[in-house]
Amino acid sequence: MSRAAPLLFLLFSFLGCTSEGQGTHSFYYWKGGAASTDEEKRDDSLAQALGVDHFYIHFLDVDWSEAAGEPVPRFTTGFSYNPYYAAHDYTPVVFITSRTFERMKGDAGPDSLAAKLTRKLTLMTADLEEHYRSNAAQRIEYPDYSTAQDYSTVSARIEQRRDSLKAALQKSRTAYPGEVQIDCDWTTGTRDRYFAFLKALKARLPGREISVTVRLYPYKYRKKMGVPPVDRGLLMAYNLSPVTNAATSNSILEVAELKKYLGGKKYPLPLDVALPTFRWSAWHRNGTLQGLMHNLAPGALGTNHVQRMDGPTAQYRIVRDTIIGRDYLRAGDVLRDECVLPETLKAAAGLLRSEVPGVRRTAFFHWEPSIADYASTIQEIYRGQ
Amino acid sequence: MLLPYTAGWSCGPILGIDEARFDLFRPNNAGSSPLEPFYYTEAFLNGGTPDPEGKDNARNCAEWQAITGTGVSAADIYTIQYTTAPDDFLRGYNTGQWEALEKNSFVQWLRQPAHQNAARYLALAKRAEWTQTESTDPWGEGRLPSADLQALAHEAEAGYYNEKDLFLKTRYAFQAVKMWYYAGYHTGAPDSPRLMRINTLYDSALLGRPTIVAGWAALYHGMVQKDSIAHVRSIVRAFDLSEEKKVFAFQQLSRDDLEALLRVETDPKLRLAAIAMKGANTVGPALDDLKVLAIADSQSKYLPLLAGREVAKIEDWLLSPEALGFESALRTNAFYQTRNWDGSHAYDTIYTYYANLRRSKDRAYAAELRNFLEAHAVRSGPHHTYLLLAAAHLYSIEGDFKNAQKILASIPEPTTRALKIQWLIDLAVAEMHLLNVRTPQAQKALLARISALEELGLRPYDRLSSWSDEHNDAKTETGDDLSEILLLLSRRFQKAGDVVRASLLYTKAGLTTNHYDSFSWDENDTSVSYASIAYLDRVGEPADVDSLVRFKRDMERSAFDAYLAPAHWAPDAFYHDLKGTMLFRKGRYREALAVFEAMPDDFWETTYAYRDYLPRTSIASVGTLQPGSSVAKVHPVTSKEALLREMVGVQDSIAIARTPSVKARWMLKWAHAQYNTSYYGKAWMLFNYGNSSRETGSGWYESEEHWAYFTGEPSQRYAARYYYLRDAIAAYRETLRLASRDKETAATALLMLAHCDALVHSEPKGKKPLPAGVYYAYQPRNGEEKYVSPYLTMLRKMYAGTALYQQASATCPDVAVD
Repeated sequence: MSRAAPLLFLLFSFLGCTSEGQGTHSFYYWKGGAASTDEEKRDDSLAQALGVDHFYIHFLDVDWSEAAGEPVPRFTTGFSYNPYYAAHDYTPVVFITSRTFERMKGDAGPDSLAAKLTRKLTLMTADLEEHYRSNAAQRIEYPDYSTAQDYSTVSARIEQRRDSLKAALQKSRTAYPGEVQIDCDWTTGTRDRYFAFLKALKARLPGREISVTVRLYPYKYRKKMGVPPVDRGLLMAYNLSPVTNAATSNSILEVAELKKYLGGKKYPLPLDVALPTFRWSAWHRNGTLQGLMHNLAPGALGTNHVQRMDGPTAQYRIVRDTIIGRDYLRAGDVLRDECVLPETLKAAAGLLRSEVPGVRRTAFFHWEPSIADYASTIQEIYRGQ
Repeated sequence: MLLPYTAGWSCGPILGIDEARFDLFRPNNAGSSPLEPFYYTEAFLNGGTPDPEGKDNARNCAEWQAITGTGVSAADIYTIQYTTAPDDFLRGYNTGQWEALEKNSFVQWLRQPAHQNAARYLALAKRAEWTQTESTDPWGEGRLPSADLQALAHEAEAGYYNEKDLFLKTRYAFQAVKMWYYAGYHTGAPDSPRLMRINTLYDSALLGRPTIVAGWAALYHGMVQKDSIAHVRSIVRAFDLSEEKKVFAFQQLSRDDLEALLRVETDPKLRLAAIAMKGANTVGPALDDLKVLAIADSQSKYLPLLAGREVAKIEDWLLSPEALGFESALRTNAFYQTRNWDGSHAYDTIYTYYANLRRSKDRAYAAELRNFLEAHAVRSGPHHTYLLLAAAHLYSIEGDFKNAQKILASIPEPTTRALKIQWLIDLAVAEMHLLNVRTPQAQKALLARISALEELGLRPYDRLSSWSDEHNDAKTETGDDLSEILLLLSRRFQKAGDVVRASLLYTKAGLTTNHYDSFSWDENDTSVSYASIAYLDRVGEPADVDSLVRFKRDMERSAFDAYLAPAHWAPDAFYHDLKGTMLFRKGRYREALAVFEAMPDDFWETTYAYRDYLPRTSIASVGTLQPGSSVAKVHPVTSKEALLREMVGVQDSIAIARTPSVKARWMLKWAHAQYNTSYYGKAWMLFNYGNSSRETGSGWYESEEHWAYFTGEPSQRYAARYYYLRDAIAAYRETLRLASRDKETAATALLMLAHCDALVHSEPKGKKPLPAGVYYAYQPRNGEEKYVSPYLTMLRKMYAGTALYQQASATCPDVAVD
């Protein structure tokens, strides 16, 4: 075997992806900050087990700053580690508040934002790619120091192989990422400026696909809300009902509610779909939403603190003043446990399969340790793609 | 190796901030929280936050409320001013959509057409705030902040010139000064036009105005002045007029800067502030500054700060070494620095001379300060009680408790909590020295003082919570006050001959002193801990242990005794073990054995760390030190009683042995037992409760500087036997004398004598004093000959034919070759 053979094997192993089913297996990665070594190992093995070959990565948020008088980046993620390294493909996602377009003045605003965002994305993508290459190179390991006969020669060879792999990856990934996604809850009032921005962005990123997230409302009322001038859409099949409403039983996903939005004509854009795997408790006081408590199972607080209320909705009455993190829950408050049951998830996936044809990618929102609970359901959905 | 510990300090304990300082004059007596950062503490300027009570912010809100009227709540003004992000305010201002702020009464006031100018000003102020908290180049385009800052400065300046309302006009001027300062800050030194703008705005709109923004502006104004006096003057003004700028202002100026200002400054208020800053910047005596301040303004707000600092200094210099055994941290550090010695561990042999010299100097200084405070108190108005308390405290430090009590008696019971605590502290200290603490009346009176202090919130020291508060100057300084009283009281009982109560008080105080009291916190929470007997072990006698056990069993204790009693007593056997150990050290072996025999058989197997550090081999086995020696376990359980019974048996056998040879063999066993129960032997726990590798070779146990190594206390009193092997060597020599016809026994004795001699030779007393900085077991240095014991030479010459020598020389190269 020539000396190039192991390098080629490594390169293919980093570039190759084989998913079960027809579509791409994807997740949203919405976290910031660095991961511990244990978290990296857990994420890698979970990604392998689920056959995840793509991530939508939250790069940054954009909001309007009154003080600056222009849109500003509010959150930018760090790339020291990312589970996408195990999946190899990714799409940067930028969330832009609707009020950014509401407050934007003049015709130059959309193009100005597109220019700034393009520059920012270029810098961030280069940074992420560099991290990806370094991470890949680190997988070529040094031998055990105690057993190496000529350590300096061996280490020089290892470094050479690492450099070669990095160079090969750089050459092969010039087109990465192939897609940029914009996430925005546009309204009829902000539509024109938003769409103008999307056109400007498309013009500044030739050769890249531009996709947008599409909530179910603009999906159904496409005439009123317009169809974004981009290459693709991603239909978000969650957050169907107003979480602020105390009468809502599950704001995240109910199949009956989902059906109400589907069934019309084919959407003018090719679509991918996203399903929820998150859980929260909607905390209400006297009918008013106080906040969302992520990954909280109210039943686990124990009967000293909560009592399950009668009825089909998973609601719990706080019976004793309780501090959870920085929140002070008072007796009488109500926690509505909202999670998506596996059978609901499967039914929703089946419905989307039949009602939204030609889906290239099924994504789940979002990547966190608790998705391990959904592992078999997710695998089943992927197999059915 | 320090025993036993569950959360020990492997490198010795680390002292928390101010833990090595004795300070019973509470720094916060003056009651002025913005001056907290300037208290005389180890945390000086390094902990806490400037203006911890937010007095400047409250004053700003109050100034706004004077404009809005009380229909607008101060809390709502505070919310908008200090907890609302600039963008959130500006969004409401620009769009009219105030969302969560809709119901804020200040917002509602600002939204009224009549108040649109105020709203416009606040919008500018929030934009200025934004430049301080957010990046002015959010997209990383290389945009310099100075452009935004200059634009804001121009806008604020225009606001100043256009605004008619004086309140808003002044604030626009402040914003302009601040923005011009920061615009210059980002581009280097301010250019002349910018300096001129700042000076014009400051002089015409802010200087001398009774508003908090004038105090804040003084700092920005001062920071850009090119003239050194103008620079110092304005920063001193900022120190005086603003609370939150005090620390920053203080850090900008040296004593020389302040002295230069004082040579030319005529403004009395500025002079006072400069003197106060200079005094607070003095780590040595600052009575001169205090006097100048008092002459200039006998009721100055800075008077308590400077007076309190001087009392605290004297207390630290005199009482930290005396009561805690620590030298003043501040002074010790300064001492080492001035000598430029390498490493802070160097032991200075002439240190004691200087310590005594400075002690008498400090006592003279205490008297001088006290005379001044007493004389000045009558003129000090609101500070009268404070200064009298300081004078009384100084009398106590000087040991003149009668005069201390006399002053305290002249002070009516203070009405403020802080001063009342100080008054009670000094009463307690004076009374414990003037009364016979052994009498029930005195104990009752002292308990009343302690109870009164506890009612005011004082508690015995809690090291763990104290550490978590280590950046809170006031708490670290005052969190151990009740314990410091208990420690002083312990010393009084010790002096009065009541070791039991002295011991209980010392333990209850729980302070870290320069002694080994066990290096573990967890251990102290259990009933069987060395901490509970450390004091008694150090200073007590066997009879004191009996008294302690009687005290423990007494069910009809007085209230005072009930206060002293620990929450959890150790079992009686633990105290009996201490008594037996004390007797053992004294060589009263049969009495010690009688004590051990009365104890439960499994005590040493199941309690403390005895099982780990007492052998189950024979007390007369030195193991591998003697070739062929048995290392078999002969005792079924760990037991001091069994080991001591063996020793007593050996003593008896020596007494009845009829021939020199038989006697020699028993004497060898006795010598081995003596060796084993020395510092170097495997049964050292018969003698001591702890053992550290740092005890030998350094003379630590002969020095004053114990910290942080286990000092061998109380074994230092028995150093001849424990460290210098006096009894073991004597017994080996006697063995040698008796074994003239038993060559194997004689050879064994010589081998052990050589070993003991080498050990002792490494000790300072066995050889010349160690060079400074050498603290490990002595090793020959380059060019220095290795020490060879004459006993070893004798062994080689006279007993080379013995089996003992053959085996020893085969297994130990040192025996065979020089």
